[in-house]
Amino acid sequence: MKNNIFKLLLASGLLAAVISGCTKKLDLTPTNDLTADKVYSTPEGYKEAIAKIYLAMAMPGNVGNNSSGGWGGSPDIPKEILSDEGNTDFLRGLWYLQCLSTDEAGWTYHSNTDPLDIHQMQWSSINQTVAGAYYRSFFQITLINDFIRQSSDDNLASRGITGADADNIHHYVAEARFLRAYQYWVLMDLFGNPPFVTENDPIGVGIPKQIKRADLFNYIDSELVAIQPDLAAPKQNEYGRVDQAADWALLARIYLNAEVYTGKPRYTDAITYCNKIIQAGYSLHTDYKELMLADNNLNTDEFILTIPYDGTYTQSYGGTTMLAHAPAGVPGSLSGTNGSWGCARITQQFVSLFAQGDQRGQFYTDGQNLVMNSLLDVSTDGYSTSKFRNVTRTGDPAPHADPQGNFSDIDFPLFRLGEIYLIYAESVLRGGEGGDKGTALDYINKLRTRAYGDNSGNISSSDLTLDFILNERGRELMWECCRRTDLIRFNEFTTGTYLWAWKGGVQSGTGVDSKYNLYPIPSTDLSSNPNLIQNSGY
Amino acid sequence: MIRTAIEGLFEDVNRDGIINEDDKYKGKQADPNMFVGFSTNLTYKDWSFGFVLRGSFNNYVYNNVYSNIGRLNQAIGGPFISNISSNYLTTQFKGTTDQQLLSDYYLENASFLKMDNLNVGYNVGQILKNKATLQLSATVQNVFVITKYTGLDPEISNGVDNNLYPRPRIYALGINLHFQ
Repeated sequence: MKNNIFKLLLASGLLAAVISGCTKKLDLTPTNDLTADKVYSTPEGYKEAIAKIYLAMAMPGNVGNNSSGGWGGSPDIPKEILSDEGNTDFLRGLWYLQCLSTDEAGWTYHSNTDPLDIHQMQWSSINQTVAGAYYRSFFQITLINDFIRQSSDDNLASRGITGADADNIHHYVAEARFLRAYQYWVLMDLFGNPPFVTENDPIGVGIPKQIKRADLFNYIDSELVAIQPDLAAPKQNEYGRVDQAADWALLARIYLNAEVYTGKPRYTDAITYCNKIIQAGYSLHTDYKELMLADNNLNTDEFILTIPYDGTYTQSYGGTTMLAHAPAGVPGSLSGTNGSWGCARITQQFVSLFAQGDQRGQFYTDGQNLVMNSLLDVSTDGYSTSKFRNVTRTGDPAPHADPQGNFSDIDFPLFRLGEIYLIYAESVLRGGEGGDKGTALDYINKLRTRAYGDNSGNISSSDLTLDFILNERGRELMWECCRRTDLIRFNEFTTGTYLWAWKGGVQSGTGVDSKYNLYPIPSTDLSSNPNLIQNSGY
Repeated sequence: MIRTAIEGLFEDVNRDGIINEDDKYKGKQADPNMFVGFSTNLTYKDWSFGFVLRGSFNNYVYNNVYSNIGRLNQAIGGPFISNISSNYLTTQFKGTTDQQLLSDYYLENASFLKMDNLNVGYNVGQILKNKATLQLSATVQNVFVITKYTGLDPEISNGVDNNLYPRPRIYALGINLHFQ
């Protein structure tokens, strides 16, 4: 009996030892990797995380450039989706789908890593350029959803973050929610009915549901209105970060297009938000040719929100690096780079929108033919442009300029006052209330005066028509990722009313199926998410 | 064998009038449904002879080398001329669209019979005034492959042929001196 008790004690002692040993062993955290709890343990950690969200607007991954070419080794979008990392950043993908698909540009090359079928409007659900833009937007949304989850009141409290630090993080959350609403606007505009996930859908539980375009509009609208009190007043935030004016600008843009998105016009609301921005003290920058230069971060008079680029700290082959290099024929001495890639040219129909004296196209014509007889291979067919130049106003390199001449310092304005004037004028013409045609004419003539350098290009009230506005938007916002949305709003994107070279794959241009007003949801996502229904026609 | 295919022509499998991802169907499997192996060793007097044969049947491979670079635009569509697959000479595909990647044209029966190893040996016997014995041998590895697969090697474990390191054929001579 004694013996048995002894054995029992020994056994339970051993068991206890094993159990307690186990407990400690199971407490391990990875020693060779970062975990969320470590990253978000301090207020600085939260700032680093919001910085990644902003950085992902500019960069294809954490590394970006690799001097040995192409792959930086840490891309956000896998090679299997888009084979060239230089194409996987946000702006280059958006430019392909918003500008290359229109009269604004054609692309010379057509190998595996080029944007195939986009200008010819013959894309399908396996098009990798389309997939790249889609997954980029969802990458941003996934980052932001997690940031918002990590910033919940419970998480802040459990990490001991209180007071001014917690207030700061609430501001970050509002900015993150803006950037998410912005990405959902991109998806709503390009794909119509994308899958929909927010911070309330934990990763790995269930599969995302699809949202209808009109419902997504309501979500974006409500988010943008809800976050306004938590955003900094116009021009009061750090450069490159979101403030209330950016929020109002996106609202104005979605209201202008509300009829396309939901069937219900919201032009009065568009005017309301244009007025708020204009009253916040923005003014047109005096010289149009200084808008897209290496030191255009100085243009805070006009710019509302930008993607900042830097020749040293954000090296990639997308973004404004592409916009400065891609135009065919432009010599490096003019573009402030190590030379043209020979890729992008402009259709003659778009060039013809610009009258003599209008400086905005900044077309490059030496050795270039006006008419785009050939789309592929012939980089001299079609005028080029030097709108994006990687030099400062004085003609010097930027402070962080890349000595090799590869990477750009030009910031890209996502929203600027010029567009707000145009939204105001169009909304007035389309019957919105809260504005008047006299003010609209005044705003348009401000743009015209800047464009011509004097009042020789100014128009009279009878010239101010909707067709004029569409053309003026083309002139003012060339290559600024608005053109496809504009042509759709005027019902000229897929129809035969307006034809440009190689629209629909023929030289003289032809109307195409109206299904091309939306891009298809990539087949890779369709096959992994049974909730998704493809856009009609694809 | 000359196979012809028309670029951009796909079957509307579900007959709904649209060629899209709904027309995809389940293809073939990458795993074989039969493995065979045969090895032998013969000795006759001072000679020895042996080989190893191995076969695999009804394993299908997607020839991603052909589908990826077997098109003209890959050669001339960039700012400089690149190498492409000779499959272009068969298909004449230009590759202005990227539809071809999902074509089952590139799915091939990669059944094969391989001789992995062949060896011949001869025992010379006592040499150097009986101070040593000598054995000579010759071996070949990866002797031959019998297959209808048109790519480099039909033995692709995951069924997608795009990143294969070629197996070398190795000839080796052996001289074994054994001092007593």
